[in-house]
Amino acid sequence: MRHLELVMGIPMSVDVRGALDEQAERAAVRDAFDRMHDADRRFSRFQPGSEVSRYDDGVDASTDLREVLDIAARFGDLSGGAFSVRRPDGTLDTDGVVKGWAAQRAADTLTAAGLTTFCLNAGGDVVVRGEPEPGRGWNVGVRDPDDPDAFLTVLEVRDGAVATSGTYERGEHVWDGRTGQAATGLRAATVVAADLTTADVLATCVLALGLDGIAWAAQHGAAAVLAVDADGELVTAVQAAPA
Amino acid sequence: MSTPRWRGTLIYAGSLAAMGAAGFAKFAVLTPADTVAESSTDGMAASVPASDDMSASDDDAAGSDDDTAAADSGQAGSTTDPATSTDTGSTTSDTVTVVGSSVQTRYGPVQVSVTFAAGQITDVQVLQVPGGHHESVQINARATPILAQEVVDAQSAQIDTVSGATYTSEAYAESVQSAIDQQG
Repeated sequence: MRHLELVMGIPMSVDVRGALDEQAERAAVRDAFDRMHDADRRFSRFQPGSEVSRYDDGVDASTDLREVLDIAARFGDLSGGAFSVRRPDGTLDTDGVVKGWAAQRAADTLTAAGLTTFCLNAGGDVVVRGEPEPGRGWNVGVRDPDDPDAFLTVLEVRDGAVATSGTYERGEHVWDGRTGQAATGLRAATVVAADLTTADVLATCVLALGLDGIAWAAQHGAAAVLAVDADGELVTAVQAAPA
Repeated sequence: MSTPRWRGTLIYAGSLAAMGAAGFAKFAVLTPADTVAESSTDGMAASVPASDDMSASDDDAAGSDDDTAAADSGQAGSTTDPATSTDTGSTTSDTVTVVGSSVQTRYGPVQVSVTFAAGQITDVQVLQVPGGHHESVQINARATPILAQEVVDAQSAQIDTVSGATYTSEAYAESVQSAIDQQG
């Protein structure tokens, strides 16, 4: 089955293959999307009553918000401060973590319900499990930020995640936490990792760090990185094989 | 973190740039002008997809719009009444053209028609894309042809999904999906 729904103002879709029990499949998908809606309600910085808003008013963080903030702090440290959930104006903005984290949790919900073969696309950030056809992984096209008719590449992925962060559609929405300036060194960065929480945060880190972030991400959890620099050149890095 | 498996799954496709560039030129032609001209301008009014259980109206996330891009988005878009836009379209012999739902995005509505021949998608035409807003125009010039390609490619099992194509392009997929659902 295939299902599409707006979450966080972003259409998200899931493609489930080979499920035996259609009713259980629908219930699992419903549950997965409900969890993403739940994350949106709780972590929107635009809703006065959200946990993110109340946290800045001094209310203790919930377990989930602590988890999100811990992830942010970890990658903030690893990136030397380039990744930050504090906007340049000081506002807490967990979007850089929550989108991937919530989608990964939704994928985990599907897995826990017994679904083994699916592709969850959360606004261009993708989690896949299993093989859509025997012997073939999911083919994830990586959109070329500069050419409407081209993919940068096609990644065949079985159990993993692909996240892309770019300035080409949402404008310069990623800032460098070290300077507070908009990140402009790269047009787009795509990260392949074992889970979407990692892939999404790393893709944002790469954009914030610029060219230096590409090799850096390959040392911090990215299986592969593809980025397009300001001149339109493709730069890639692949995680080194274990020694 | 397992590594060798990942290395094997990367297909760099030669120069990495040529992938999919050829053969879909016909989808690159966008002609939204004719539909925009006869549309009303009710701005941000949400067009809820008419199909099944998609809860596109659950749009409290409108408040969580990215503030760099969405400040005045949507207002520039033209909207076609979705109630009139989900009718099954023209039929000639075994070819059926189905008009998908008008899907609201933060940039404006997206709507497509899909032509089926013998149960296979043979063409996807864009009826409605956000216009009049600089960023929206730029977005659609890029996103729409790729998604037309994605839909056709997906049938041939070459591309299952796209990373990096976000708001507008996903709405495009949603409109296509609604057309597929209508067609059964």
